[in-house]
Amino acid sequence: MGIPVVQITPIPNIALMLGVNRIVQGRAVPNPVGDPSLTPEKEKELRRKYILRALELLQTDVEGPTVVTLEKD
Amino acid sequence: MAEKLRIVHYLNQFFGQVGGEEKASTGFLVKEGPVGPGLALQKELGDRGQVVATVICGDDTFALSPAKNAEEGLKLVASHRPDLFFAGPAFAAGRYSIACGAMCKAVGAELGIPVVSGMFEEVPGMELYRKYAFICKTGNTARSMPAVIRDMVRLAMRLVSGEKEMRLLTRENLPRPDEYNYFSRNLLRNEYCEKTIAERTVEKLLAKLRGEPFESEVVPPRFEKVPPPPAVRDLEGAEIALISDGGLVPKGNPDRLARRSNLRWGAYDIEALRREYEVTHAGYFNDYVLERPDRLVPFDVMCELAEEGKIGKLHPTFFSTSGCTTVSKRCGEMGDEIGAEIKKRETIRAAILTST
Repeated sequence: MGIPVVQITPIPNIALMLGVNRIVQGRAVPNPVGDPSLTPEKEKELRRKYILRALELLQTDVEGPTVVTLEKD
Repeated sequence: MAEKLRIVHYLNQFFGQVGGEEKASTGFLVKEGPVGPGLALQKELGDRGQVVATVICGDDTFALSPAKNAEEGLKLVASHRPDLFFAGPAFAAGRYSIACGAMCKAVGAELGIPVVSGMFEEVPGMELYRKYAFICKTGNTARSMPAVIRDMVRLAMRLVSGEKEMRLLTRENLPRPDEYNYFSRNLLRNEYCEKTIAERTVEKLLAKLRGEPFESEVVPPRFEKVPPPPAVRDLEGAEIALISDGGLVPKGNPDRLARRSNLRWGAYDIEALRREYEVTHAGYFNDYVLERPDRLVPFDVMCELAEEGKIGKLHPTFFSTSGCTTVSKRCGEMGDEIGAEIKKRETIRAAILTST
């Protein structure tokens, strides 16, 4: 069995179509894990949230392609 | 048809009447004439062809090294100078489906003759080899053998009846998968139509809007299902790698990744990369990443999390490619190549891939 990969992408539909198993919806196409409109401190906090969400998904067993967003369900 | 077609048939140890699972490690052997399902095949062919030889190999033996075994099997098949090659049908048998597919691929590529098999849609051999062989659709048990043999022969006869040169060049004679009950090989076929593409498009669109049935002339590619690897259990001890398709490369782009339709990837020391870098990707506005590459490749946060002990370690190499109008086939290959490199490094337990 391979190792898990989590993809952070602003367009989860494409990843889903391709069969990616662990997907986090990213911020935007030119800045998937950042936001130039924020102060550097706030932006890093935001990035940390995306990464923590991605790490959470890496620690979760999934049945098939699964998309999560920053806001928890 | 003046002469009978010469046919070679491939079977596993079970259908080849060597034995059951206890004989699955049998090596290659050849029996003259038809064996087991080959008898039904011969009956269905009648005067049109003669099963001259049956090549048999144990499922365990074959599955250990499909490509190498297919080469060996090919030599046995070629020595009988066939005009047509059949394998199986394998139905829902996993190892057997791979053996049938690999044999078909090798024989088809080397001898240039039609290769026909039969499989249930969920076996691995179908997805792995459907592009290289005509694989008839079957049920999941051997109960439907007579019907499957009929399908395989019908398809094979259709394949040998075409004018060869025309078939090779533009595939006018390629049978339609739905008409001949086989898995699509993702081949496009030239066809003469009375109506222009504009007329056909509008007709199909109107049919769709009315909720009427219509048939698409170009079917989008089907993507392989990848079984999800298990979750990481001890993140605090795990080494994580970063990958991105956003085109972040060292200044000067040493591996010459293309901005568009790129076919390459690179492995770069992440700390050195952060000192001098550029972006090679024509598919998005690069300025935000150029201003702060963490917006694409989250180096800062990953270092922080490693220091805090939330993850074991950040792998020092970053795997980079540029995904902009790259064909999906090459994307898949690059994924396999990067995956193999990650596996080779042994210590990496998971990866984060960021995409633009």
